[in-house]
Amino acid sequence: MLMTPHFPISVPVSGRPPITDRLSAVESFPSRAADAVESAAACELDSGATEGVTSAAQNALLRTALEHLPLGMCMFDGGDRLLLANRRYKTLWTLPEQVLRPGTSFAEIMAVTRGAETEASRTQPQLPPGNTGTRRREWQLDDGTLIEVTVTRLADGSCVALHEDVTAQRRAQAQVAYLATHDALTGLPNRGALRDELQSLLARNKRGEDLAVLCLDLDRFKDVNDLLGHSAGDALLRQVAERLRQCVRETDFVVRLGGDEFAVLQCGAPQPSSSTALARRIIAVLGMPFELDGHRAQIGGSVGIAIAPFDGEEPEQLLKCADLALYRAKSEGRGILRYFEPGMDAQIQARRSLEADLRSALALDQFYLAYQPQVDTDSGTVSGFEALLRWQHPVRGTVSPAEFIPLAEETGLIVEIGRWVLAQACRDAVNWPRAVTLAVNVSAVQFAEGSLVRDVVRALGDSGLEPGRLELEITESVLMRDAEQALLMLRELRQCGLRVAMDDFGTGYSSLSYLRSFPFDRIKIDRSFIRDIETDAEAQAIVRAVAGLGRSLGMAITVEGVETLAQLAAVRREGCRDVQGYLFSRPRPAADVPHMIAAVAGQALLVSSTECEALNHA
Amino acid sequence: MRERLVYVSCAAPGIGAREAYDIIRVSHNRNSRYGLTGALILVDNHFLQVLEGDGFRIRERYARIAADPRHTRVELRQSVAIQQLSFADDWMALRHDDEIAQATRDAHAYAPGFPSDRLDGDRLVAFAVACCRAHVEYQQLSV
Repeated sequence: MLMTPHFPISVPVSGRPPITDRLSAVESFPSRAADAVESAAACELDSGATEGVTSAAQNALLRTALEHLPLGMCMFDGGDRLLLANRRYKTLWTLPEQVLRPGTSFAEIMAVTRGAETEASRTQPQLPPGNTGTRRREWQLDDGTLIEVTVTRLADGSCVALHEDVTAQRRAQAQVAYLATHDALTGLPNRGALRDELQSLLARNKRGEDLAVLCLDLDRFKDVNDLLGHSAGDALLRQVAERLRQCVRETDFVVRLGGDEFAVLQCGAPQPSSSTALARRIIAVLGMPFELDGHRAQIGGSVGIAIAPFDGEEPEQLLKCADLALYRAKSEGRGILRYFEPGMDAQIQARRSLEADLRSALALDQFYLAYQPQVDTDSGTVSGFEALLRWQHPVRGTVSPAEFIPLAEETGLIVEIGRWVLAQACRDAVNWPRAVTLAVNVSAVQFAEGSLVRDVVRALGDSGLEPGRLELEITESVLMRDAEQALLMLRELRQCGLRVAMDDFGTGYSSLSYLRSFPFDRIKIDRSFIRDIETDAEAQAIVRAVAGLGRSLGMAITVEGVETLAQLAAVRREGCRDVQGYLFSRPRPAADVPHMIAAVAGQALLVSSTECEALNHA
Repeated sequence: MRERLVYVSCAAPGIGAREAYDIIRVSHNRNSRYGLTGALILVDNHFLQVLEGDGFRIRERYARIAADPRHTRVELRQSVAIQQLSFADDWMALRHDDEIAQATRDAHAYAPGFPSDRLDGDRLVAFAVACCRAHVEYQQLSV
């Protein structure tokens, strides 16, 4: 049903939908402005009647009032003939003077009217025809001007119409709506828009098609902000938005969630293969360098994915799952993608809580060091102690290092904790007999972070421990990360006078090239080979080979995990004299060090005699 | 040492595309963590999986996969050391029959159930590579 801009008309206008119901066209509604005009006129007439004002004077007053309205106004009789119109009406529609003569038919006016009713106006619900009331229509002129027409049908069949230029108002409304749903920096839709879009996609998705929600964030955004400033950070976010736009399909929906977090909705594609491919493209484009004010920045991104209907059918639930998957992706490395898995929520909650506790553990003095003796079985004496980090939490109790060390490494907390371990262990060791050495484990993360050499030098300096008594134990993961950097630091450490041991040898890659790349002072054979050494010929052969390797390369060998006399006898048979394990002592607090030294001396005698007996029996 | 392992199996009753999603997301995350690449394809009620990467990890995975009740008649079709990865950067899964184009099936002599007389280890790898490549290319074309 079409409503003409001016009023109701019953004549079909070419190029526009015909008006099928004359009444419907006329039906209108008292807009506030229309009410005001009507009541003003009524008021004038009433007062005229009582105070004897002439009808010509009344007309003049009304005319003045009409002409001063900021709105176009006109009135038609029941036969759609113009009764009156003001000047604003003429200028608003740029109508020729002659059509504004009273008696002009509505059709004549329409014939010289340009523009068309807007789509939104045509499709909005209206009062049924025949009702008196107010109807509102919006018309757009060829130059883009928007005119809102408020038509009121009166009981006698006549009607009043008010016309207002709403162009600026609509533009402002559109801008407010845009700002409410878009991110000002990148021009991408925002989180609210994502929720709405997701909601409507899920509601429409009756066939149960898969829908992927990808949450992503940048891997080194903070570095860019810190090093190059916030304007570079903003420029980076704009470039990221552009790259994202370019790697999605037209039907995908890219949003900025805030900060350096973005999301993409992917629908109408098979899952999870399509989201795998998309995430891979995203990770690839974010991994390419960005040019920022003449600087080249290497960023990268991680992606977490949730799929509807598997992970939920509510926007919030899906976003939460995708976010949890992203959290998992980031905790497991950089530039990777993870799908949400049930149970992730609980695991991540547990991890977050453990991480929070770990962050405060140092300040709250919850760490302590335990020492396990390293025994020279030839002399039957303690040659050194390995310092082992322990965490005693008031509620959790003793937290296993296997649980908190990986977390400390992932979060980088290991750097600070490792610094404390070095300092504390050196302080403890100065009190030991001078022949007893100290072994401290150092993580690959401490090497990568860069302050390790400084930390070691300070720990030695502050405690007064002779560098020759300190041995750092590293695993091959140190060399796997950035071998060149690590070797440089190892040489620096060696120059300070301390010694370096390769820990856990035999597990992982156990590449001999690592042994060649640096002259380690010691190789520690992993405990897993000792467990079965009495019965497993392969384990025996490996221990024998590593012992031989050590002799040839001039590296001392220590065997870990010796728990029984039989194991001790076996490793000694393979040529290993330095051992460590529960057979001698489990790790104990620093205060027990003198006791352990004495106890081992006693035990070693026992060991020697047992071995003698064993040999005699053989 | 990098190795490749290829097996085929029959989806257990009640295991379809929908149920396969659970297998896929867990496998994706684990394989990615272990640095394993390859593909898992569910087509005509049968699974085909190619795994590439560290031999120790692959054998460890396969021992568990073989015991998974969600499939039966697990047949190992290839287990070899490799110089070059066929799936360079990731592990991908296709679980809908219509994700595998007829042209790809025809070009690789595909037959339901991956009969061993038609599809040996190398042919299965080539088929899996082609399926994934076609999928990724389709995705890129529609960008």
